[in-house]
Amino acid sequence: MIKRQLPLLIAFAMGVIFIIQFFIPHQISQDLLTWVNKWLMIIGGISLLLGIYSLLNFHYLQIFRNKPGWGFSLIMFFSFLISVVVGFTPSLINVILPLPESSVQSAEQVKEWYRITGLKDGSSLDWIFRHGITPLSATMFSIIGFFIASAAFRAFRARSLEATLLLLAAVFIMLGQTPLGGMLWSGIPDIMTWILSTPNTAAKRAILFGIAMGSISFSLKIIFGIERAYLGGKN
Amino acid sequence: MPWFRILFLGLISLLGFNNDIFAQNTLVSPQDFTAFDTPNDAGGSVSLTWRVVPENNKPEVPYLILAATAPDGPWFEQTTLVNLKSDYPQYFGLSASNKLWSYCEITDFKQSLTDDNPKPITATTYFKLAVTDGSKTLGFSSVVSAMHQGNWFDASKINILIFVVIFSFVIMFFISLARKNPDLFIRRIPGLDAIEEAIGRATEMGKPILYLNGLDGMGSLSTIAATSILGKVARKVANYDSQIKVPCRDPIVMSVCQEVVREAYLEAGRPDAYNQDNIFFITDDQFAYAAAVDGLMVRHKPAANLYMGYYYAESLLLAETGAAIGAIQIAGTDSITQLPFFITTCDYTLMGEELYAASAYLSREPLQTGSLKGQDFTKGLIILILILGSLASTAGITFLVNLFKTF
Amino acid sequence: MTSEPKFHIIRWVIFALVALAIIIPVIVSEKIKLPDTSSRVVKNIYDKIESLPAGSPIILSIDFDPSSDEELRPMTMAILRHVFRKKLRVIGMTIWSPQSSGLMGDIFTTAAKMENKQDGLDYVIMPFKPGGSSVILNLSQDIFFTYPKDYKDKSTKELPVLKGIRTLKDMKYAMCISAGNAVDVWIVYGKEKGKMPLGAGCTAVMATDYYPYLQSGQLVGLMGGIGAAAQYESLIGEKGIATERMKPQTVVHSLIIILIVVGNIVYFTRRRKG
Repeated sequence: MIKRQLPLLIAFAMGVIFIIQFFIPHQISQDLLTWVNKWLMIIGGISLLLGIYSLLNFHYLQIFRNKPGWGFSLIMFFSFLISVVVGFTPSLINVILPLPESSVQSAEQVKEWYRITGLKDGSSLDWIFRHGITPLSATMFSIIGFFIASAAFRAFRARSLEATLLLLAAVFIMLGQTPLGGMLWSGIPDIMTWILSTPNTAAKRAILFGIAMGSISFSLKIIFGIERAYLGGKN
Repeated sequence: MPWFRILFLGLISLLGFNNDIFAQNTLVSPQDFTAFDTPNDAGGSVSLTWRVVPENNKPEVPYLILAATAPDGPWFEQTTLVNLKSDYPQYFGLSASNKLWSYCEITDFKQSLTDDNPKPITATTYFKLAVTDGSKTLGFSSVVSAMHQGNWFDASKINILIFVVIFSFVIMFFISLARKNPDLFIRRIPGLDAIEEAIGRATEMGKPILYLNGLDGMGSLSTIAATSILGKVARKVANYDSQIKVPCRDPIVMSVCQEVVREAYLEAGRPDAYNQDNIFFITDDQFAYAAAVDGLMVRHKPAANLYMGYYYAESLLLAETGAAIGAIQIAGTDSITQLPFFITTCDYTLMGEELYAASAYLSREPLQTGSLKGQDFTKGLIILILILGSLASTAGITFLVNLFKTF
Repeated sequence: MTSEPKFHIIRWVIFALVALAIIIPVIVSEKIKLPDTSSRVVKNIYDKIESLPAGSPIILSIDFDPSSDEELRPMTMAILRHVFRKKLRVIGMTIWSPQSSGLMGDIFTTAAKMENKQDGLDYVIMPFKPGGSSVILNLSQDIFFTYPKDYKDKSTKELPVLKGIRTLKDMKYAMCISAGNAVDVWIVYGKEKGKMPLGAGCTAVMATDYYPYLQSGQLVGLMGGIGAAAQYESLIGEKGIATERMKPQTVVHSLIIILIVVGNIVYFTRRRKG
């Protein structure tokens, strides 16, 4: 009973407190918000440990049980180990072998010491970030361009009046976004701006209204304990 | 031409070249200078206002604010102002005539204009306002005083409070109505009806179901809605003796989902079939997560993909890969920018509030359906206000629009 | 959706065509000349920055990570070069992620070298702080409390660039360049507390989200994607990488339109055959 009632009570108390907090500008109210935000960050940090355990456990089982694609799990472990060692090593070196000041003659020698030992915070990890993560993330983002082309080819068919209007709008906007539209006809950029600022904005506002109403209603249901599915089990 | 006419014309032209003389002569001392505690704030700020007079209403006329801790001084220069903005309806009201006030906030006490370490205002402070010509003072206002304090209620948000109270009462009313009449009508949402079909298809093909909760954390409403749907989906999966995989981007979401799925299997009477390893954390990096999920799809070839929650740019990466492997795809998101991508690549898409309504739709509980009806009723009210407000604004009546202003 | 073997082949043909549509214009870039264009929403940002007197403090919030770097860096560079030329004091910050800090440092250093500006004197880069809206709310109270040290660990109170500045309200302009929802956070918290004019830069796909804010006056202007960056480059008279990237973008857009037309022709032909 306490497993279900206690979270509901906490949700109710925090929900009501922070609805009221929104209307109180006093410094005490702002300090409360700041304090709770800090705790959210702390809890988020602790939960990362749960995530790391889950990640390592999942891939360990992939390798141990020889499941399809276990090689990727091995690569994951390898990358994880390298990042951890590289990330912690400068700090460890700094503790075990502090910068020998007596032997340092000039600023250039200090700079050289940092370069050799990687003592400067994040230098080796920074390299992995700049030459590993950055290009990989950019590559994944770039794939979207190819997928848009194949999705557009498959989806933009004039099956009905609505689909035809969608198709025409897409064509005008694609032309208007580039100088080509202006070169073909000077009115295309204006049509594009009109489509984006009038019917597009109207439709987005309509969806936003629905989402706003849904959000308020859903939030009230969570606060008052009507919506309990996130706790697991029957409501 | 007579000599006195020439002299007179010469004097006029001489004076005409020297506009400053004219400018100086027309400036007047500041009028109706007032100081008061800045309303609706946390404290630490004093507001100063004065009436805009036509003679001083030129962009280049600088004002100088002076402050002291005693009514007789000594006076310290605080700040100079030009190009005044006097449009603060939250302090002066929305009437057009109230735009004739200039406004400035003072949050600390300086010893001079160039003081880099001003101290916060701690006691009643006295102010006076001077109009200058850039180098010397031409006139002072009367001395006024004020002390700041933190306010316990933000009056500028009263319209929001009234709306929230009305909305809450409407929801409660419809919930009580739903208790008396449990068969309230909810229109068909094809995407939710298709979930059962998708699970059945996956069971027949002997392939798993892939369920994604979106990329936001547990604090996001769409993630909470997604975990609610997950519970119902997991129960059906347990009943069909199929398999569900839930890769998570957030460790807290992973913990919640593990609990939700475990409870669902318990309710279905299949606790032995529950496998915690099917709900796992991947990474919190957006595209690394998308790459990992794409890899899962290509290797394990799930028969059904359910994308519920909030998504960012990776939505098309996920959905297009799912389309390529031939899975039946159902998406539900309140992310407006990603809706077009899901609509073009998925078989069914729940748009915006349909995601929030899913819990009520699938459970059909009176409490849930009642709140859904209340939400729809309020939307109807808003549509009515929009129509009336548009007509009123067209006729020049702005009070309806002003009722909904936020500051 | 079922995947037919034929569609697999068509998919790969489309991917190959898109790849060629990107590679060929890049190779023959010098031979392609596109006219300058400028939309009202981009020009509004330019005009706003032009109207600010020298020495005005502004905030530039860089809220994107490496995946959006290619799309948002050109507009960030263009804006930075413009504000540096106008001799405005720039405070660089981020509420997005620690990765954004690294990007910000790189972009600011590059732009500063081009315009001969000094860190600490003409601009300052603040380190990443988690909390999003809390950071902005803290800024509205005290900038030195929020950021006691800058990116290079120097005390912010001693920096000449921050002289006379205490809170968000002292800013004459703010701009948020974001790949996510940081612009929404700035509109709700930053604009409400600071009351300064606010501009936004975002990826092209997100630009449509912010047109309602333009109409309501909450944003002075909006830059969406590479196209807007190219327009801004032509406004400041420095055609750079964004202008170059418009060439393959124009070709790819044309290709997608052709593919849509071809797809419809195939669809209608099949429908007629029954």
